[in-house]
Amino acid sequence: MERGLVFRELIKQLISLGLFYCLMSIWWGDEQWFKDKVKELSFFISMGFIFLIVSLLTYAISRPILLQIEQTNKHFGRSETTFSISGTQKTQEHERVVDLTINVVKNVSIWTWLTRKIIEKMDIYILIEPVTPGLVLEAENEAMRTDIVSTPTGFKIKVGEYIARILRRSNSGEHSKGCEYVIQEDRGNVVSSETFQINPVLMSRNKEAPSWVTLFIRFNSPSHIVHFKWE
Amino acid sequence: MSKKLYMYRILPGYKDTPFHSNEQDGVFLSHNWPLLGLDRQIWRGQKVKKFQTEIPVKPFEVRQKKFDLLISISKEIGIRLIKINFSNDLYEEEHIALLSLIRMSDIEGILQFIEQQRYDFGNDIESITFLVDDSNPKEHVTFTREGVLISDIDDEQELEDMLSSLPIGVLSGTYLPNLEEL
Repeated sequence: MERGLVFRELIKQLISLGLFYCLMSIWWGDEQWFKDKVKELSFFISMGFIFLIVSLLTYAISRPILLQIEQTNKHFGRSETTFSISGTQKTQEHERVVDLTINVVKNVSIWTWLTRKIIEKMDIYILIEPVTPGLVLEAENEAMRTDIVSTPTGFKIKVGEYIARILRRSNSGEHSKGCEYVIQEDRGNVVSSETFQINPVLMSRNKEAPSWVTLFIRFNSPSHIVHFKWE
Repeated sequence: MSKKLYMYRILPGYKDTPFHSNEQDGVFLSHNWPLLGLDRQIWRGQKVKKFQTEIPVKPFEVRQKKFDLLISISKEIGIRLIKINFSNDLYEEEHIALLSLIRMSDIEGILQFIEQQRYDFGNDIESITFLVDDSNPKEHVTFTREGVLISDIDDEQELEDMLSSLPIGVLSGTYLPNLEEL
């Protein structure tokens, strides 16, 4: 609910009902139907006040940042990838490229300033790695990007400064950051047949971000499933 | 005797560990790119595994895009294509067609051929063999999709120069060529 709109509606109602009461009471002030009407209308005004309070509350509890991560297979457009190696045959590269998009939505909230301060202090990043060993993920142009840091089996996307800038400069609305990655086998950890999950994690200073961070940032990251077979 | 090097990308944070190129140990470092090559004759099986857990390195697969990019700028970057291998063997007539395209250095034609192989026949590039024009002595260099460099160069210094060259930078994804610079 938008506060401004609710507030304007309420003012308009108050003015029109106030006029109605003043004018009508001159002529029909002591008739029964008029008294009933006044009761009815005062009910609507009190409803207007309730809406105003609710809208103020949502303003207070809404989280300023929503981080939504999407991972779809670029070729098939699905949230899972099949990858098989048999002898020298291997699933073609363009069939195991995953399109990763980070959508950042900024909402109006009274916590914006506080969130910005927290994020600037915490050095927040998103870690993209397979949950269990056996795969290596490589982001597009990983070695040349300044916002991506490689790790032995995946990579991390630095989003701290990015979100802080959005909180500082932009009006509410959506931003998005794309980064495709390719799924490769891990020759140091040979596995035969496994199903992997690639589950983005919100991290801060080399460990998982404390859960209270989600009070300020809504983090939504469905995992990407990889069906892997090496025979 | 040709040398085979397993190539790895060195991750940030490596620079703190003291480590140098050393031919006896079969380790070669690139001056320009965060790359490291391990001589396959010396580094095998468990030893490689142990190395990978101790030193922050990441094995990489050469992206098909990078192969395409290298081919399309081969003239500017100063290499001559010798051979392109695919993950499935080509038919005899396809092989002859590709060879004649390479010989005529018809870049457009080669790229079209690769695209057809990739999307119509499910055939990715497995390795590329080329010759660096201004290197001396002239030796063929093969770079495979799995990040293995095969070369006849046996001098340590020359091998390091090879690892630091632009084509290797393009293939390993550590260098984005700027055509005006070349």
